[in-house]
Amino acid sequence: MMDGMEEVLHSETNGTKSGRSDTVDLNDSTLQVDISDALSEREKVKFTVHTKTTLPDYNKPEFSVVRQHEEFIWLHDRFDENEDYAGYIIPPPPPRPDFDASREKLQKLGEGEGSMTKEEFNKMKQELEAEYLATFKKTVAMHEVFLTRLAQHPIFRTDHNFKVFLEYEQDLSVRTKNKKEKVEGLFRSINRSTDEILLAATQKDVDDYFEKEKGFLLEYHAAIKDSTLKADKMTQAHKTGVADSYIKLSTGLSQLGTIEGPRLEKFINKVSDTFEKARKVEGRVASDEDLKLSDTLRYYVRDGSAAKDLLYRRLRCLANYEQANKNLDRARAKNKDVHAAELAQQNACERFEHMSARAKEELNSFKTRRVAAFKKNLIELAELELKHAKAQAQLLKNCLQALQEE
Amino acid sequence: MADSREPPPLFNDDDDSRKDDDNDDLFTSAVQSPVSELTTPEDQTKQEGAGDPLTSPPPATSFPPDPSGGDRPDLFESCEEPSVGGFSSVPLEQPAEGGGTQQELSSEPPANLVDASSVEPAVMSSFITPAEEASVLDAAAPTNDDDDDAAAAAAIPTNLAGEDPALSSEEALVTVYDSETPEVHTSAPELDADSSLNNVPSFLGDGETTEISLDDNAQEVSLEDETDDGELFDPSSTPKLQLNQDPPLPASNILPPMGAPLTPPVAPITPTATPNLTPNVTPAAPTPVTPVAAARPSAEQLESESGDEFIEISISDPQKIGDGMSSYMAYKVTTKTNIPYFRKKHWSVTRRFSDFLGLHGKLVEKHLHSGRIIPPAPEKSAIGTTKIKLGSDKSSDSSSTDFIERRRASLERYMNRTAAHPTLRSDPDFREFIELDAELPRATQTSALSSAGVLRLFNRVGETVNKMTFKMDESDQWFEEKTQQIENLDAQLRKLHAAMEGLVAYRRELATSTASFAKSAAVLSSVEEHSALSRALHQLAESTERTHTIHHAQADADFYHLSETTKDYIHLIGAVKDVFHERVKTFQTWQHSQTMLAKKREAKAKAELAGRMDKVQQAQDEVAEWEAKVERSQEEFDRISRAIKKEMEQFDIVRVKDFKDMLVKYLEALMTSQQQIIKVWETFLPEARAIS
Repeated sequence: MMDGMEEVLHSETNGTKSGRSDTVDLNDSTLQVDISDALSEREKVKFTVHTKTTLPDYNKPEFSVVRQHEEFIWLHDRFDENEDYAGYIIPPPPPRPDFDASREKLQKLGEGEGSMTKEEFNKMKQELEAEYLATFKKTVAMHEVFLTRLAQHPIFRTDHNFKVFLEYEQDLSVRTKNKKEKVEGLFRSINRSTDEILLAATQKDVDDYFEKEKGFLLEYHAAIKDSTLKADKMTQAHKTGVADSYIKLSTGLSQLGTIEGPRLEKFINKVSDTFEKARKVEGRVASDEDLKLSDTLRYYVRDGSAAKDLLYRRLRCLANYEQANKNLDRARAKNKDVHAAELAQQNACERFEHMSARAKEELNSFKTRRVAAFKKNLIELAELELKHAKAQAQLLKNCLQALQEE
Repeated sequence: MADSREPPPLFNDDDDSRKDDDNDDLFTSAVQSPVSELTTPEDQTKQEGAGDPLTSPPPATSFPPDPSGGDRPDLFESCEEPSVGGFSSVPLEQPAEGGGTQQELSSEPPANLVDASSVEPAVMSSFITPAEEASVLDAAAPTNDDDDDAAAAAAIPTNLAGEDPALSSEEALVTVYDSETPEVHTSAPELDADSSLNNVPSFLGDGETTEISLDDNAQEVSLEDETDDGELFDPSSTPKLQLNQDPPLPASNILPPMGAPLTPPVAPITPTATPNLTPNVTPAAPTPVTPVAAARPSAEQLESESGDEFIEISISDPQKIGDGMSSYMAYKVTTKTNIPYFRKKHWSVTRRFSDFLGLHGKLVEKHLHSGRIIPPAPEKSAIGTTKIKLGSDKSSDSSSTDFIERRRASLERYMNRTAAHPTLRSDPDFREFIELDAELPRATQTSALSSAGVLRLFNRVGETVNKMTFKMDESDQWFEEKTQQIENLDAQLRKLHAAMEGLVAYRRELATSTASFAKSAAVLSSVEEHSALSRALHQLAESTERTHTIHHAQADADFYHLSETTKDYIHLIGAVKDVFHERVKTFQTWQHSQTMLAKKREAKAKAELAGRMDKVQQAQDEVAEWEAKVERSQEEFDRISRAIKKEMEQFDIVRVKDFKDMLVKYLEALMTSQQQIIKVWETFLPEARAIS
């Protein structure tokens, strides 16, 4: 799905951004980033980031580096903390590679090995391996989408850190945050969220558009988060529940066939085969639902959250601006440091104006991007559902026919 | 164990009494190995020369044997005489005579030779002259053993008499036996009544109905008897038999009903039971009795054919009657059939749950020992029932509606399984159950906590211990393989059932999670500010809501088509195991009798050595008694073994068919679901495309 999403993002970002800034040439080939390879080593996943560019800043037109997840996060943080980018929606960071669920299941399967037949065990194992592979691919795709969005963004693409990330051949030697930093980070985030709540409660927005947008994003974020959760549950039930019990059913039936002997064996084996095939189809239905539906939802949970952050930053900026106004008033009243205050007020004003304009653009692009992504993925979802349902119906029909012929 | 042994003593008493009267050796031997090689050829000649039984028997020929009968043991005489009186049909005597003589001839030691030879001419003449089926029939029947004698006697007379209702024939029989020794008659009528009742319906089921010509009957029966004999006792005679249209198969089929009366006391069906059937049922029950004898072979053919008759029972309208803990569920039992011995084609009665259990109990009591697989009744569920009992509002709670529906469905399956068995569906209790338009007497034995329940529990524990401790030395390879197969099947079905239960649970979970996603998507669509996307999301919510319904329906299909059928079969396998165990018990009895016989022989030898003549006489009697018992229990064992084989054959056929049906139905349900899903997404697709 990430491939799909990526495509959408490509076209999307291209379309909208070319509309608003003519300064940068947005030809696809200017900066193309993809992850050509990924390697899972124990706990760590190593992504080979491959770049092709025509930008003059880069030494070579094509190169590859090996990056780890932590370095992606570091890159995201650089963007996130950069004041210059406050007016932009920072692409959400890719989620940490998480294969614990798969590992845990594999372990559980190993423990339960005695309770099932070898055939059943092998099928289950295959199933888990497939699942692991799917998770892995998804993780890679998420990381790629992050880089692609950065590369497609007219401002972000020129970022120095991004260049370093793409070009620097050595290990970036980003370490994970130490304890002190972690505590600091935690403290900051608490500070920030209280500030956010405080601002949301006290700060009156001058612009109705943003007021409305804020309300929408809050509600939307909650709704889409819930939907993601439910969709995940649904695909999970489909995959590990229904599809897996088809395995048991299928092997159970074929064993029954063996016991029953010739009268039933052929018949039952056909049914058993059908269940085995139906299981695969059901599994595909589940994973396609996961890809097309859950992942779209999931991505927009994070993107929505990034948009919310943008709104917070703007609101903070507004508060600062108003504070600067107050300071200016006070300075004028006291007739002291008026110039400095005026300057600060002017800066803040400019900043806020600029940010509001950027944010408006970004929010609009967020919306267009979202609608397009949803459209694409919903169509694909429907098509895949249709395809699988038809395949399964045909499968069952064939089986029934074969059974009748007996 | 104990009760299955009860009847034999009864018979032994008979034997004893007779022996006392008469020449013991002759008697015992007659009883023990009733069938002789001689019978068969003779019978056959008779068949060949078969004339019309009704016309042929001239009284004159019938009497010749009488003198010889006088020499003969009382048993035969008494048997014949009454029947003659009762049914005023002469031929009856002769066969009995013939049988007697043959027995003597065949099984008789030298001691009887004189006797036999003297009788022989008379007998032979009697046979040759009338040469009618009826006589053959009787002749053959008695040879088999006492019970069969009685059964045949009961059957044939009625045949001859025409449309004599069963009751009258029973009475007649009673009188017959009245004239005999008191001990005999008490037991015999019961057995007769039983066997005749049992057999009748199955015959009728054939669709041939009552108007079968006597010729046919006679022939069939005689054939059957022969085969029987041949199989049982005389290998040399078998080839001949196979020439007959009736292969050995019918013989084994026939055995069960005959054997039935031998074993445990069949109290419920005794003459007293028949009146119980109430006016409604009685007419139906007795009429069939007439053609009993012919019933047996045809009934068996029926089992395999049975195409042209049907019985279909549906259970509907479950309703709660009463309040609180004393309330109960009543169901409407509707029967549709074209079987002639039911009075109507279509009717319904109301029954409560415990009635179903009571019916099952009765059927088990009557038929288990003869090797029949009795479909198990649905389990009692204390929790489910209590929930319903305490539930103030009917059908408000979905779990209790589920429970009731599940029970209704399983009752329906139970009833149809029982009805599919030719013997069980003709059982008076079964017919009473589906026909009697009134409340049945409350079944008291069904409650888990009743004294009967506790007793049952103890019995079961005892049986289990017995099963575990007694390892039968299996001589029959068929049984060895079958037992193993049943065990494997049991284990596999349990595993499969667990997988199915898992599937049902997961699919339900899928349905629930789909529903909650649908709700969530609906919320999301209302929040979404882009109108086209909002509409599409709304459609998505509706589509998933519909998939939820489909998944839910599919989960029900998983449950009713797969899981429940499999569960039924797990229980049915339990019933099969019960039947197998019944056979083991019979085997044990046989072994026991053999040990006892050996002991008695030893005692006799000792007494002879000691020269104590009085003791020798007594020991002799005992040896004879145990010889009879060994004989009988061996026969019993053979009978149950054959009955089980026959039953298993049927069970296998039905099971294979049921499984095929189940899987086909299930696959069809799956396909319907998929087609519905296709529709759902087909309607959604344009909506998704419409986003702009």
